[in-house]
Amino acid sequence: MAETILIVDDEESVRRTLYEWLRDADTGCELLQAWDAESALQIASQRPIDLAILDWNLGAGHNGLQLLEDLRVFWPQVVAILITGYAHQATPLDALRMGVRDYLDKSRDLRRDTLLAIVRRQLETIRPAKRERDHLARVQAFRQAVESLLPLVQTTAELTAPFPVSESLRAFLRLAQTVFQTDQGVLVIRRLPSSSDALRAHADPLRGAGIVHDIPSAEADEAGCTILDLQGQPVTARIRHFADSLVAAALAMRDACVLDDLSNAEHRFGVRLQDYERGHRNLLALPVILENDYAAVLELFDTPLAQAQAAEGHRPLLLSFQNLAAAVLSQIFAERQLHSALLRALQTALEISRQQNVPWTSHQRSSTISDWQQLLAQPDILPREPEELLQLAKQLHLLHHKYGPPALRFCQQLLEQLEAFLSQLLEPPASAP
Amino acid sequence: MSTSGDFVKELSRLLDRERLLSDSLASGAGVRVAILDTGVDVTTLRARCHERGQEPPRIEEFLVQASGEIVPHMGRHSAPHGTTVADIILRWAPKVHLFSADVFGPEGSCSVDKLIAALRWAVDLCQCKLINLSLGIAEERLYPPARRHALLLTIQHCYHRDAILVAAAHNDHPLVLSFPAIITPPLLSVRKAEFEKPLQFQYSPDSFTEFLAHSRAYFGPFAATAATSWAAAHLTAIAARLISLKPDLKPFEIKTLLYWLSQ
Repeated sequence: MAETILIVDDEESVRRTLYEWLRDADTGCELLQAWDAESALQIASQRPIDLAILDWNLGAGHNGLQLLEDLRVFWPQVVAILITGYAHQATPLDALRMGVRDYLDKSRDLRRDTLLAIVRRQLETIRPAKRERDHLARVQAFRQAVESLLPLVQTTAELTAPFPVSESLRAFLRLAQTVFQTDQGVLVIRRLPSSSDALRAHADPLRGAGIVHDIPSAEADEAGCTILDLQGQPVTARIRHFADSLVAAALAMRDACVLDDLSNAEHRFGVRLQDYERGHRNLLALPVILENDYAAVLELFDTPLAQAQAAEGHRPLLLSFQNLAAAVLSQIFAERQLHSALLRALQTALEISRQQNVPWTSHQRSSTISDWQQLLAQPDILPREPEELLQLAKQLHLLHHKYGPPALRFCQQLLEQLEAFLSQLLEPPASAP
Repeated sequence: MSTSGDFVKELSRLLDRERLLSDSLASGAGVRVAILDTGVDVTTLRARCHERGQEPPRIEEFLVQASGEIVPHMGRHSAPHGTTVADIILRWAPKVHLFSADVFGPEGSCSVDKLIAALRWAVDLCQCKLINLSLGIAEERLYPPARRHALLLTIQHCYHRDAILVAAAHNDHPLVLSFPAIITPPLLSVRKAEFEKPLQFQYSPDSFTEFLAHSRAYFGPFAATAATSWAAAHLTAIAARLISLKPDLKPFEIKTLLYWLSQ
């Protein structure tokens, strides 16, 4: 967005001249004109102003400094070049504080090249600062948008954790009850440990030595399993000894499998029945291998199809059910992963925006303090600086020559402030009595 | 002078399945067999062999870690499946030297990379002649193409090291093709079937697989369920018995022999 320069001068010829100089100089800025304070403020109320070229004497008792003060109500970052034939009337300290960055003496300096040099110098300062402000404003707007969205996504993600029971899943479970003529069963969903999880699980001294004892452990067995009954309600039981469980056996089979005598399975096969499996006669297990990090088994108890021959005769039906389960669960997991991914993306975006939103000035201030502390910590710093002291004296002399005694007073005030600042920074606080 | 027809008849008479497989030397002795599965429960298998009056089996256990590293594993299976497979093999070829690699592990799934690592380990380090794969990997897990190519190269490597793979085909799924079973030429791919005798089998090529074998197991929670996993284990046991009769059989000779014996 191009910078905007507002020219305010009650003398039409001067105003037009300034306008034409700037227009022909191709500064890349948008040029606006006003002939008095009122019209200038009207423009400022509607348009951002980056640089104001203000006549000191605006007539009707107004002056450029007062106008600048009013302009800063609308645009606090506005800087100004003051055109005056009465430079001695301006208070440099107040003017600088309010954003006057340069002066043009109407009687001496009001030439095309002088004006353009001053304007370009100011634009070199204005443009990066404006870019920084624009960037921070965009980051701030982005951050506000993310912050407003985050609770919603977070709530959605939490609702879907650890496992979302959607209406489609409930419908699938109801269908299973009807088709298999039983209301006894569970859906066990297992989140497969990722490779990194598995690597961590192996990172104990015995495994490091190349000897692995008895994995998975009971804790590892229990991890990552969610159990729902056929009504879609969570079952509070936890799977123990997963490696010996019927769920593990069914998952390895990958196909529908039956256990026609559940009552003595532990004794006969060494498997471990879970609490929810006890007390049932037989089992039909439908493993569901999903493409993501999940696997599931639909365990149906006491169904007429939990007989080997009956199951063989209904293979197409069982296969269809496996496919249906895979479709339903895949959709649920895809939604869940989408929510998780969105949540992660928003959290990352928020974090980045926070980093970006660190005010530049505070960062600069802290580094300045650090630089000062390092500099002044050197014991021999002062005796080595006569040339720099001489340079400073020359600069003061030039200021005096150019702006008169007010400039020197302003420098004096600055030095006093610097002294106070350094005293506060370097001198230890007085101890309590 | 005999005709070619006489020669084939004579050959067929000699290649009598009952005769070969019931030979007292056809016990799997001296045959190193790898089972890439969910690991095995050695205690249970020993007890099973003891119940059958067989000698204690020789079993070495390993775990294929997620990183592909293979370490000794003095533990147990990660699911009962591998124990059921081993029980079938030991029932019909009790003197084989078993090398069990748990390729599922705590992750609960077998990746292509783990399978490749296990195949290399079985052939190069354990020098197994037979490798039982009662498992399958869905085709989408072979992506990217480089991974699929790596698996093919590994299977070819096994072939050139005179090791034969017996791989279970997909069970009933009409769409999901199970790898590596459908990579037919260098290996024995097996579908399930019901046979009167467990050591019966049949050469019956379809689109992706060649052999049918007995699909019931003898131990484990889902032993009664007909499954290609159990069929593959039966054909592995049959191949082990044949190899114990002539240990230097090449993979193509074993396949040809199985073809003849199934006629």
